[in-house]
Formats: sequence, structure tokens, C-alpha cells
Amino acid sequence: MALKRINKELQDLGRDPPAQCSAGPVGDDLFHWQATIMGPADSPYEGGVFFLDIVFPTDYPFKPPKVSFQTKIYHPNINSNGSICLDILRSQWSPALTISKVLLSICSLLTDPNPDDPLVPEIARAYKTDREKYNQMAREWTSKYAM
Amino acid sequence: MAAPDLNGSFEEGSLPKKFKVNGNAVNGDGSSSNGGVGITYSEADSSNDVGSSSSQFPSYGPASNSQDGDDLLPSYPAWQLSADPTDYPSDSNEASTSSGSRGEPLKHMLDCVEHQYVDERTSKQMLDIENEIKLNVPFVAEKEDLSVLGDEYSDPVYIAKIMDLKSKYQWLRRTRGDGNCFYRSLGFSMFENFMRAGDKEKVEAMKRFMVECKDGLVELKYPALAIEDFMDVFNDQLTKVMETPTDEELLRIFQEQGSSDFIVVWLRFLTVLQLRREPEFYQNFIENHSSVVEFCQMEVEPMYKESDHIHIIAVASLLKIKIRVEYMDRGDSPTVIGHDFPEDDAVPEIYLLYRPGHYDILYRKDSD
Repeated sequence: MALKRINKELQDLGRDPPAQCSAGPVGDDLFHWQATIMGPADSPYEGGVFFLDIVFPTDYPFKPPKVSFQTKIYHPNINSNGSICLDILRSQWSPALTISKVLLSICSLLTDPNPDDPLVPEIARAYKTDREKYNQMAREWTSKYAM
Repeated sequence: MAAPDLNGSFEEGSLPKKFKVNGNAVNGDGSSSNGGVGITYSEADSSNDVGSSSSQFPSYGPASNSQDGDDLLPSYPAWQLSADPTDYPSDSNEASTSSGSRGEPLKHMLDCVEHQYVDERTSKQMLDIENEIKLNVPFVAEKEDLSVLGDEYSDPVYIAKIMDLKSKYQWLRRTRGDGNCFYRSLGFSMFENFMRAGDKEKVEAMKRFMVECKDGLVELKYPALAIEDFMDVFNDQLTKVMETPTDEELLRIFQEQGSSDFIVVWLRFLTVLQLRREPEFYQNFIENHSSVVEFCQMEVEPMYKESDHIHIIAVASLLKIKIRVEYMDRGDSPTVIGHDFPEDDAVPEIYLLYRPGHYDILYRKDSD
């Protein structure tokens, strides 16, 4: 059943791709996808292309997909391993969510970080206390790693 | 929620302790001092900046974000995207406010760090424990004589209540304590009632109603592709049990994950539909959440989230099914206390036994 659902999502992404995102299987294994997110225009990540790794569990959609950044990014909620601190990827996963919704949520996390729930406290501190420094660092990392 | 009296039972309240990381202190070097709850972070990983960030806060001790009865999955702090343009499921303005206490950023950061550990270090252990439960307790078990309850208790309060229960009920059917027990009990009882009545027209009417409900959810911006499978499985399995109306077929449907969990999710979404249709009414029952939308996202949609009165009221009202829940706890009353959903004079169609944190199915004396 997981495969049926993953196939439906793949077809849907082909028909109606979310803005600024794309996703699809890496090879023949439909449980392993790669996605890209374009850095949102109103963020310091603008111009960057960020690659993400997506692994569907065998009991998808009862369990959330494992999503991580492959491209380094300077963000309070994404650490150096690419792990993302996002509730819908953990305990708040709902079987009604799709990869499309997940990618859009990650896009909005890029535009609006959650410094009060940080994964990387130094970056959260910069975001809260010295926004200009945060913007500059995020832009630097974007041009260094994501362009 | 835990029920310490229940020796050897599979009460939900007794399960989640195994999964919690409360009491573990994660040290900066990636090792751990274990508070005795069975989860160790044995693989030191100094390359992970999670470890280095937690080193600044070596006093990171028992996390307070777990809740009793939150089965199988540990609980995490409640936070959501502050601006969510995804319109998931809709009304982003309404849905986007966080409900949790945001007063202590440090705690949230540590909670996030804890997520990493839970995800990366303990997922295998959680899976092992899940598998162990699967081996020991089916999603829905065979019917047992109610007298088996007597073996679980020595407390006179409970003994008296079991006597009272036995005066009205004959059989007990246990369900797995995985947080889905209410929905699983409800689904099983619905299917069983349809099967025993053998009224194919009623079944067809129910299936048509399910399609309407799916359309209602799509109107609420739930993606059709994400919810239709659950409805399809519900309707298909209902068809199957009418074609093969045997106890074996019924049990098969609810014991196989490929059908049982789909039915659970569908019943969760029916609950969501009713809550979302009458938000003004249900808002009155909601504590700790800013809106019905948020409540649905956090307490209804995710698997393993337990059900309370509000869930039962909603789904019973949508399905127009009368449910009686017999409450058995350590309260002083010498009898179990029955609550009817909805509260009217109609004869209940479904009987459930509630013990703190868990629902099982009951059968009346006059039932077969």
C-alpha cells in the first residue's frame, strides 16, 4: 500500500508541482527520493538550490518520511547533518500530509525560521540578536554551498 | 494515566514508559547517564553538533515534555510554523499559532536535541519494542469471558466493579494498547454489527456516506490522494465482511495491519470532519489548543494519539451511532459508571470498557 500511495504522490507532483520545489525517485527504488528547493525570494537563501534526501518508511504514510538537507545551510532549525527540526516530520506527522506539503512547509521554514525552537542555538542567537549578521552568513553559505 | 494495579495487562498507560527518554541525562560527550528507562545512547558521536550543543548545558535532565499515555511515540513540544503558506489543511491563519508554552527557548532547543537522539539512536529500539507488542497483543483479540478481568486485579474496589460489570456483560474483546484502541474498537464493533445484521442496503448507504465524507474532507483542503486510500480500504473491507460474514474474516480484517490501520486512520479523519464542521461547538471542549484546526492536527490526525470524550462525541455524532462507555477506575463508586454518546434514550449499539488510558470492547449478556 505504501508503494501505491508513493506512486500517487509522484504522479501528482508531475501534474501539479509545488512552487519552487521538485522531487522524484533517485533511481529504481521508489522509496528513496531526492528533492530540490529553490531558496525563497524573500529570504537570504535566494538564488540557492538546496538538495534534500527523502526516504519513505515501508509503512508510509502511517509513519513520516525521513527528510534531510544534503546541501549545507545556515539556518536555526537545520543542523550540520542536514537534520530538520520540524514537528510534522516527527510526532505531528499526519497520514494526510504529502511530500508536496512537507516541501512547502520546509520552504516556509526557510522564510520564517523558528528561533525559539532552535536546533542550532548559535544561529538562533544570531537570528534573534543580530539579524544583519544572520542574513549575511546565510547569504554567504548559500553562495558557497548552494550555487 | 498509568494504572499500576493492572498486573500483566497491556494497558496503554503502562506501555509508553518504555519509550520515554525521561530521566536520561545526555552528556556533552554523547554518552549518557541512564535514568533507568531502558534507552541508552551508547554510540558516542562527537562529530554530531547535537552533542556539542548540548555540552553547553550539561544539566540537561529529565525532559518534561512527555505525557502519560502518549503511546509508541514520544511526545514532542508543540510548535508549528509561524507562517504557513501551505494552507494545510486550510485556514493557515487559524492553524499557525503555537499552543505550547514558548517561554523557555532553552528547553525547546533541548527538546529538539532530544528529537535527534530519539530519532537516530532509539528508532531501532522503538521498533523492537513495537514488534514485541505486535507479537504479544493482536490489534483486536478473540472474545474472552469477562471473568478473565478478575485475574488482573486484587484491589477490592476493582473486584466490586468487575462484579457489577459481569451482571450486565458476558464477553470482553481486548484491543492493542497503542493509542488507536478507541478507533480500532469502534471500527470492529461497527463492522461486527453490520455483519450480524446482514442488511446490505444499510451497508451500501454507509459506503455512500463514506464517499460524501471524503468529499467533505477534500472541501476542507485535505488532498484527495492522501485520504482516499483510507476510505477505499474501509469500504472494501466492509464489502468483504458482508460477502464472507464470519468471525474469522472479521478478525482477519482487524488483525492485519494492511486493513486495520487504514480503518483506524479513516475513523480519525471522520472525527476530524465532524470537529471541523462544528468548530463553534467543539471549541468549548478544547483545552491547550488555540483552535479546532490545531487540535485536529495535533490530537486527532496523528496515529497513536489517544481519544477522549470530544473525539467520541464527534465521531458518534457524525456516524449517528450510539456508544456506551463503561468507565472502570479506582473511583469510590461500587459500580462502573456508564456514559452514553450521545446522551439520549436510544439503546446503545456499541459497548466499550474504559480503564484509565485504554478501551476494549464489551458484549452484553444477551448478545451471542
